[in-house]
Amino acid sequence: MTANKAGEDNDYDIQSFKNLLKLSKKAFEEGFDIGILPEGQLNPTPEEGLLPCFSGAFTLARMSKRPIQLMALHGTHKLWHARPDIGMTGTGREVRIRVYPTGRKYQSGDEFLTTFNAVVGQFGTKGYDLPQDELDAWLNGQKWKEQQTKPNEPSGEEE
Amino acid sequence: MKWRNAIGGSLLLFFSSDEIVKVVTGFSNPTSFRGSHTVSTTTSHDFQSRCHHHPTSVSLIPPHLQRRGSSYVHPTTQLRVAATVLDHVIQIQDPLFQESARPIRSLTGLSAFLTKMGMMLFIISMCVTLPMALFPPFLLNKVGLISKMRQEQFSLRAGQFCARWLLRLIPFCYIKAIPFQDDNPEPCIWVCNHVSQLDVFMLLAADKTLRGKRKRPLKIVYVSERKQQQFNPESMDTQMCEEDSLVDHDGGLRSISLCTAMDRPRATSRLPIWIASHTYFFVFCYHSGNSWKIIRLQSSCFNNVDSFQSR
Repeated sequence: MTANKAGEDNDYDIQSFKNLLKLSKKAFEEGFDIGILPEGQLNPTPEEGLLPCFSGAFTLARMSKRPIQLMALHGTHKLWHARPDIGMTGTGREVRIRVYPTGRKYQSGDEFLTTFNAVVGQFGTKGYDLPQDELDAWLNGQKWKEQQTKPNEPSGEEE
Repeated sequence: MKWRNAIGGSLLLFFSSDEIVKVVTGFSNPTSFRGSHTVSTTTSHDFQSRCHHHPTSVSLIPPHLQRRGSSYVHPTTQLRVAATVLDHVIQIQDPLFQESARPIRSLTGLSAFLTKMGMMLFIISMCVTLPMALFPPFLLNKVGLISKMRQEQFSLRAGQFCARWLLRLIPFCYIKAIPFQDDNPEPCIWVCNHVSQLDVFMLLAADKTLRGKRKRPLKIVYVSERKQQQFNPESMDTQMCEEDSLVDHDGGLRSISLCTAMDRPRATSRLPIWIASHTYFFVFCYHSGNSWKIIRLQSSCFNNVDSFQSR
């Protein structure tokens, strides 16, 4: 991937992705875990939510039969913002980092992306978690299942 | 201990008094950052049953309360409170699950300046100390005493050590780490949001607190899959996966039909050859407008090649 500024489209290079796959496989064999930033670039507007994310992590997880574990970060943009006009102008000094319990094997890329956006997006944007019940429901997959069944409910009511 | 406090104290003169108290507290407990909590294990969720330290029930129990069985006891009054009740109250009060009641106070001019200076000093220090810390493992690998894998593991530890201690010595920010420490960590893939150039340094510094001593080493990679023009199924490495690690549950036909118009003729023309040679291969399928999915198709998926080619 060629270098790009925050907020610009990523320039995807098939060769680099091919190398990534090879390196990932090698890393797995050597006992490393892989850390992925699904946004693919710095988020210039962290206050407004995550950037569009990519399902590469799900692809890797599926290929390697490994669970995905979520981690969230909030506050570093207040020290060093991705936007060059703000840059290192400090607006806060508290950084919050959160590791969510137990990884999960997602069934689809959409499920992973939706869960990531809901859980990590909330913490990354606001600095605090979803309400406990809702968070648990996202982490154990109940919320995703609910969302999947929701479109069927109105039709049932109509009947 | 004295010299460490002296160095820390001299650096902390740059910061306000309440911040000094917080950081000195951090110094007195060098294994954790400010705000890393003792974690309650009282939870009934199934998926959390493996967690020895469940981060979603962070305990802010006053230290003078003693836990006896299923209740907390006040040492002087001997009043008992059921643990489940107290844990519930504590969970509700946990600021991590609610918006902070404190007014958001942005940094003043001087404070912002000092923070910026501290951050720049931290980054410069990292740039100086990292090469020094990474050189010994590099040398050992060059000499042949350790393997490349061991070199990378040593380098990662050295990097984490540098980031952790430099942040203690130059406390330009507070890290509030909410850990999940698994005694028997499974191999997994970690995903995180990305908001600043400091993210990697912060993750390095907080990794020990976040994931514990028995964590697995972590490599961070970037993945972005947006540009479809360079798609070339023939160039993919078919040896990447083990057998059955990727299975196309749609029997292959739908997945192939998802190929973009540009790539489809090529894939279809090559398909009979692949099938004839019993080759396993990858096909990149365009999905939802902004991402690619990798799907491996097994030659046995295609019993009827004609029907596939006619689509």
